[in-house]
Amino acid sequence: MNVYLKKLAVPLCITMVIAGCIIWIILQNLYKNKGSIAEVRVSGETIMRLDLSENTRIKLNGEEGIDIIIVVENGGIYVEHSDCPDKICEKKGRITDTGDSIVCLPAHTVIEVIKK
Amino acid sequence: MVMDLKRLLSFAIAAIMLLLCSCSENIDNSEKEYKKDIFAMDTYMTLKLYGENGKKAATLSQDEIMRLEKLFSVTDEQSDIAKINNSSGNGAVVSDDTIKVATKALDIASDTDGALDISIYPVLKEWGFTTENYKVPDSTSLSALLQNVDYKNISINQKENKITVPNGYMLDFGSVAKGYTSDRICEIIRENGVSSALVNLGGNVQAVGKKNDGSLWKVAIEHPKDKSDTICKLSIDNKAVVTSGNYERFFEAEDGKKYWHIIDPKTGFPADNGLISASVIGSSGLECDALSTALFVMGTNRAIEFCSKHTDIDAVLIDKEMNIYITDGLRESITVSSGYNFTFIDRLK
Repeated sequence: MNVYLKKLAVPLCITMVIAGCIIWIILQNLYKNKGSIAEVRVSGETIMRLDLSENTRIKLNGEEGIDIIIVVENGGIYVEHSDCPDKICEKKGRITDTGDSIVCLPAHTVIEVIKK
Repeated sequence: MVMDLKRLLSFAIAAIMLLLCSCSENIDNSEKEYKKDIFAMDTYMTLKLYGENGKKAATLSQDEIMRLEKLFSVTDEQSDIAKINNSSGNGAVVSDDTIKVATKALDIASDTDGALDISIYPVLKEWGFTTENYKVPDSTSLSALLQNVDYKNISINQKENKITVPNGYMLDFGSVAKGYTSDRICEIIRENGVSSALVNLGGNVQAVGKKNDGSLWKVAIEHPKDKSDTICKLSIDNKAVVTSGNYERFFEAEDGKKYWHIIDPKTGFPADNGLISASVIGSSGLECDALSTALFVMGTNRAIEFCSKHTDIDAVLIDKEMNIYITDGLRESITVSSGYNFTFIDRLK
C-alpha cells in the first residue's frame, strides 16, 4: 500500500497544485468580469452606471455647459466627443479594466470602471 | 517515506489555500472603502478612505480644500495671494496657512539657491501658462520681467502675519499649494480616526497609514514619455510622493519646439537642465511638492548633489537619456520595471 502511495504521491501533489491554479484563474476571471460596469460622475455625483456588456452611445451634460458623447462598445468605454478645449478625455481612448478612469477636467466628469 | 508523503500533501494543500486566500482578499477588501472626487485648484483630486468615519473625514477634507483654494488662488481678488500682489509694495496681512506655506517655500528657495521661486508668476503668465494663450516671449520682455522675480525680496513678518513684496512682484503658490493641502487633508483624516487613506491631488499622492489589509500602498511613477507605461512602483505608508515633469503641461510652438510650464527662475525659459522627471518621497507633502519642482529646475548634476546631502528625503530622477537615479533610502521600497537602467545615489547616514 505504501509503495503504491509512494508512486502516486508526486503526481497527486502536482495534480492538486494544478487544480488549485485552475480554480484560482477561474475565480480571478469571475472577479474581473464583475468589473464590467462604468460609473459616470459629474462633480462627484454619480449620474449613471453603464453595463459594459451592453453597447450604447450616450450624450451627457457636464459642468460649464460641456457636452460629452460616451460610447460603450465590446466591453469597453470611451469618450467619442467632448466640447472641452483640451480633448484629453478623447485622447485617453478606450478603457476596460477595473480602476481605469477617464477624466474630463473642464466638465468635472469622471468615467470609472468599477466592480459590479 | 510516509512522512515525506505527508509533507508533500501538506505542501500541496497549503499552496492551494494560499492561492484561494489571495483570491478572496481581492474580492472582499473594498467593502469599507469611501471614495470622493473633487475638482479644485485647477486639477482632479481623489480621496480614498477606509473605515467608519471615512465619509465624514472626506467631507471635511473637501471643505478644507475649498477653503485653501480661496486663500491661495491668484485670480480670486479676495485671496491672500491677490491681496499681497495688489498691495503696491505695502504688504498684506494674511492667514496663518499662507504664512506657513510662504515661510517653507522661502526656506526651500534658499536651500536650493533659488531653483524654487514663488515669485516666478509674471514670467509664467507671459508664456501663457496661466491663460492657455501660449506664446514664446522675446528675450527683452523676459529680461524685464525677471527684474521682478527674486525670492530674496519677499519679506515675512511673523508677528503681524504680514507678507510684503516690492511693487510689480507677483506671488503664486502653484508649486507648493497642493503639497500643503495634502498635508492638511491627511491631518484631518487622522483627527477623524481614519487610519487608512490615500489622497491624490492631481498627481500629488499622500498616504495615511497602510492599506486596510495591512499591506503597503503601491504608488507608480509613470514613464515621462509614455503615460501607459510605469518606470517603477514604490511601497509606502505615511509618505507623500510628488512628481514634476516636462510632460504634464506644455505646448508646441511654431518653431516646432516643446515648451513646458516649469520655468527656470535664472533664465525665464522652461527649465532644461537634463531632467525630464523628478519625484520626491518624504513625510511632508509641502516639502515634496516644493522640492520636486526645485530638483527638476536644478537638473541632473545639481539634483543628484542635493539629494546626496539631504538624507531626510528620497528621490527618483529621470534624465533625457532615460537614466534613472534613485536615492539609497528607497532600496527596500522600490521595484523598477524591467528594461530600465538605474543607479542608486549612495549617501552617508
